Amino acid sequence: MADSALSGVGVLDLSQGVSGGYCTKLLADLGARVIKVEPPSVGDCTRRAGPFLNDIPDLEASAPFLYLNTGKQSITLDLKSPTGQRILLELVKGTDVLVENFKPGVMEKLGLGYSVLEQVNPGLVMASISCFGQSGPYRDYEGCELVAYAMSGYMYLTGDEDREPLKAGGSQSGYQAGLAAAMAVLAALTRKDFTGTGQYLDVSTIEALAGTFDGVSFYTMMERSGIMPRRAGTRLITREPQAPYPSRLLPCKDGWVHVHWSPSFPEGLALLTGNPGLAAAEVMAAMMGHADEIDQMLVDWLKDHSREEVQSLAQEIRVPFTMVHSIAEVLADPQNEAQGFFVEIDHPVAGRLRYPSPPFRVPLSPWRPARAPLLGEHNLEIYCHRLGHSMEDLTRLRQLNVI
Amino acid sequence: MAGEGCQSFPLSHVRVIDLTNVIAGPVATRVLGQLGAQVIKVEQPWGRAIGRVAMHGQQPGHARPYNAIASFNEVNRAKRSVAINLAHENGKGLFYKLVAVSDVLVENYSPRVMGNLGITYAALRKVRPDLVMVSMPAMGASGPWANHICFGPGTDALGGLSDVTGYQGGPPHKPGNFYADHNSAFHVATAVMAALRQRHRTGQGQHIQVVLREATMAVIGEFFLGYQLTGHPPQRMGSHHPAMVPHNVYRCKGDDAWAVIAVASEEEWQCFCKAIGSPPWCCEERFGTFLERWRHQEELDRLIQGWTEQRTPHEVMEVLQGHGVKAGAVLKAPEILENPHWRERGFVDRTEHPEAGSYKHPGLPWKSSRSPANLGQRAPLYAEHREWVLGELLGVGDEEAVQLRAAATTPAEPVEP
Repeated sequence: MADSALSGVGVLDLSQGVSGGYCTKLLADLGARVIKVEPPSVGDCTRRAGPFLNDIPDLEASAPFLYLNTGKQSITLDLKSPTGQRILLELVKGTDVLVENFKPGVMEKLGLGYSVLEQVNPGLVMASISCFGQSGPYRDYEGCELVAYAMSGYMYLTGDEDREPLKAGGSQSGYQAGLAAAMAVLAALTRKDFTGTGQYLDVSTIEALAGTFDGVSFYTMMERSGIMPRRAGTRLITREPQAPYPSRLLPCKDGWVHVHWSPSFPEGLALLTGNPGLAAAEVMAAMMGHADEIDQMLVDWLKDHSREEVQSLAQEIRVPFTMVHSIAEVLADPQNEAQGFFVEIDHPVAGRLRYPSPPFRVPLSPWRPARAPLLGEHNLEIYCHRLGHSMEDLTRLRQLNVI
Repeated sequence: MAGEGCQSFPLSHVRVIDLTNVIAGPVATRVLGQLGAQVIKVEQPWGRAIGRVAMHGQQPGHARPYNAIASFNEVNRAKRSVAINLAHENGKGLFYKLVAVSDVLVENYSPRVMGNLGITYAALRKVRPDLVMVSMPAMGASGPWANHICFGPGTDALGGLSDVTGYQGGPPHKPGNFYADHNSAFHVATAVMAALRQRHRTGQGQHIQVVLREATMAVIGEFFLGYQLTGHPPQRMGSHHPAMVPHNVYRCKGDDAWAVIAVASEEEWQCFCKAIGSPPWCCEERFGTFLERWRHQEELDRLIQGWTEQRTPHEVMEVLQGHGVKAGAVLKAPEILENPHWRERGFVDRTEHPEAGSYKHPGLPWKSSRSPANLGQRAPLYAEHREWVLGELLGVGDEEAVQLRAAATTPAEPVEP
């Protein structure tokens, strides 16, 4: 097999849901060998999340599971049973990385805390992803996507000014936590290359999300000017009248477009719309202070133009407008087509679907598209061929619901 | 810098040239700096350089305003700075000298600009054969939209994130500010570390592409599969959830004060009812089962808000969490800075900047048991490290250095074009 960035790196993924799933998906995309350890019979909770093929619930045809687990292997194992715990320790011996996202303290209760695992495998890199982190007063609070979005500070900044705060679509808390964990694991593996030692990584979802907006600008704005940064619809968040025009979504003839002003082409909006008001001296001197007027002048022009027209007319003169695409349109757009971003992968239950490629193109570590595993698909390979259990053991372990 | 043995920070053996602007690129190289890499920001010679002037958080009336822009000083922490005119032959020569002693180069110009400057991976490899280079085009290195100008928020629109974000029944929306930029930045940091690891093993460098829009699409990947599996487009659902009721944000006591509540199971519903004092409506038929609650979600949300409105967000959170119910205050920036949880975890970083005063920043979102947090690393002043680059780092001869110091090539202060 060709070399890849993470050739030879073994990952045990005990996590469920988006955060751990995305972390180990990225590691698998980069060539790591990821074994997903799922609870017997039911599997990872994203198998039950849907949407499903033809809207019929099926553990093997759930969109988030199929997406988040490409290129991994799956075994089933009951970590609550002493037999399961013993088997896990066997697996830990042969792995480089372990990722889990139980509530803090659960791994210790299972007898699988880092201090135990480190004795079995001294070079182990272990990443624990939790909503609030493994320390601090909120450590034992119940978390989820929505709670993380709220407590990261991001929700207060998302939504319309005169309405309630809004959660972003999908699972952005989960994705950012997974991405942070992937960075943490790679940094720890890099360090291990030099020192030979592993380490324990405590990844906090609220901290991951809090790092995705301009924290300091807001904090500084607040502390120095006394102005509280606040959500601003689809506009960029700023309160200073002299700030540049805050880009935003505006309606056009057949949908919505994202309008943006570029400092490298200040007269662009006026040129695009033919409205000199958009380059008037008093407007340019304090664009944020005139944002509502600018919006109105843009809307007057946009209402006569389709999204396609807006994007191509604007981009032709290097004004950075883009259209709002639906999910269906993104799947079919000419740029994704040309880039080959969506790649067809077959799956015995879900069938042939077009999957997003990894979000990085690493030429010496080319992506090998491979579907998500069926529940327990690799039990035979891992338990018998790798750990040396007999076929009879495999049957007994299944009968006892250990695997 | 390779070859250093035992190291405290994971990337202290790595030197990075940062040829990026605005948010996405600078955040990517900042993460590498926070992990111990020596990051040298190569800035444009003119004062209109986008990140130095265009963003918010300016201090009007400042003697050197380009050194006091809060957002620049946030995303460029843990870096050094030198200004080089890459369009000038001497400048380009100096840049190649820098690349020759570096491990990583990250750039986020449009493909057109890099082409015009003649700075290609093939050319850079001649001076640094094992260079790891990252380009961050908005749309891709090729394709019909390759030269479109687009910033992070534009990829929310064009990548589908806006389509799936929004109030129920409302128009498309977006996460506040620069989500897509930060998201792509973290993917860049991930890819760089992977490529460095591969280089460590094989001796080979490579040219990585992280496309801004593709990174946005990657964090909503399930929607693309969901659409193909079901044939129907996803609906914007505000802060609701397809399988949890109640699951929303509720007004609380105080100015613009809110808390979120999420109930995932029958058991949690019982805990929730108990936590709010089991009002009679909890036992009503219309809220008797999950499916009933789903059907009467609007009425349920209204009744819950009647309870939350009597309490502050923190009271709501503490009462409900005390009963094992998922709940959280919608925190505002000052609450994050002063909150005992964040303080105990040492998440908030502080820096002292000689011209802009003190700043508070979010730290890295994880704690490593054997690597200390690399805190307190401020952003550089414009061209602050020019003499260090010319002298200590590159050992440029006196005569040549005089030429290079000439404003057009490597100025100490921004020049007007």
